[in-house]
Amino acid sequence: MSKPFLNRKIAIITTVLLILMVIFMGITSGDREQVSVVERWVGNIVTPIQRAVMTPIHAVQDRVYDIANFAQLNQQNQELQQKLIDKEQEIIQSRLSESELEELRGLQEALNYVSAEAHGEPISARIISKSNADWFNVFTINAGENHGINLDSVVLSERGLVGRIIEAGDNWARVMSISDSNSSVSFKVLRDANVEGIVQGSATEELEGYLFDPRMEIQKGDQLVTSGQGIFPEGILIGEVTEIGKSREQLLDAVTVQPAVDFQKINRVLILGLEDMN
Amino acid sequence: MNRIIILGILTINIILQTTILNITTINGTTLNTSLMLIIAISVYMKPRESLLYALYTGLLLDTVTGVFIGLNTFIFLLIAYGISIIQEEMVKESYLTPILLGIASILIYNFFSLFFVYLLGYTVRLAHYFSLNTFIEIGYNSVFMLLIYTLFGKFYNRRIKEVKY
Repeated sequence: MSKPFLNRKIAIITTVLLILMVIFMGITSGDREQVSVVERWVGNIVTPIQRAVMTPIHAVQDRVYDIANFAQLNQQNQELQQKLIDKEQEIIQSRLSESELEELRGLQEALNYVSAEAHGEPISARIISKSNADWFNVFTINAGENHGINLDSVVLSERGLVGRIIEAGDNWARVMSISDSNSSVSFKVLRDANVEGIVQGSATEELEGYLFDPRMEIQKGDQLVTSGQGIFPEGILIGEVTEIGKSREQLLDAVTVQPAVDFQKINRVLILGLEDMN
Repeated sequence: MNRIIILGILTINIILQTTILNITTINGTTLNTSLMLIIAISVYMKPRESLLYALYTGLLLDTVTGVFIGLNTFIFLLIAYGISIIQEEMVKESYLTPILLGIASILIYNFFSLFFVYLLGYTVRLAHYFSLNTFIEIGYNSVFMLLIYTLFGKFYNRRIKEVKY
């Protein structure tokens, strides 16, 4: 075959493939209810291999972390003992209102009312791979639909809110973290629940957002929790306000938030599976 | 050269890139070893072979890590084709070749990624991509590009000799 003809053939094949890829991107972008058969199949093969690769790495990481933090453990132990004493006092106080809560639960049962925030047993999972693209903060965990995980299941760590499930296979699922540019979470301030707003992921580790009502006051160091609007249940710690300023439009109070979760170091997560409402 | 060996190398590379190599980040930037392998393959091998490996690597990487399918494949195909056009004019043994190709490929990769991410309606913060991180990414990847390119060159030349004799 002559070289110019071969070159033209390769150019045509490349152009066709490039056009096909653009079409693929269009089809597979956006929120999908289910992953395709091929993605599920590839995920089911690749995920166990990734898990096998990461198991010794996680074991080493855990050991190194334990050794590195040994010096702090004694101090933490004393602090926790003090906290325990304080909590015991709080328990005594809260028992007084417990009987009131029991009455309300009885009423809920009598009226056959199902809470919108009802969730099943939390599922523990390990992160086995991360997307290396800067523009998405997405990672894969070693639990999927077989463990009760569905699209939009809420993902937490021991420190706070991590994100939500965007794709679920049989034994794997993909999580979009709240620090992803395409994630947004409505919040309220822990100090004053009337102060509400919304935070979004940014290209950096920090979250950016604004208050719904500019007349409300927010302070540096305020802790933000989920407000319960949208898919995230109420009261999960999001992070701490590190900066307050005006948004680009100079109308709303803009806030910069340091997430409670360190997304670079996170290895283990908890997933709240949505309970069957029927 | 045995296609199965190269497909095996590319598959193992994707497993490592999405697991172990993700731990070794510098200021949040990671190594794109798949891109480096595609560059090395495109320099040394025939255009048709390069496109085949670019297609395989891109689709596998998109399926394993991507939020949508086609982005990595598009860029890998484009880079493989681009290198195959200038392949014969290149000084393959020069240390500058992988470094320059690496820098150009990362810039092309970031440009098309941003373009498609924006086009598909995802949020893009341009300021971040003109920050220090881009330079860190280029420097970090260039060092490994040189290593992978040299290793692949040696591997390829040895296989060629084995086939001849």
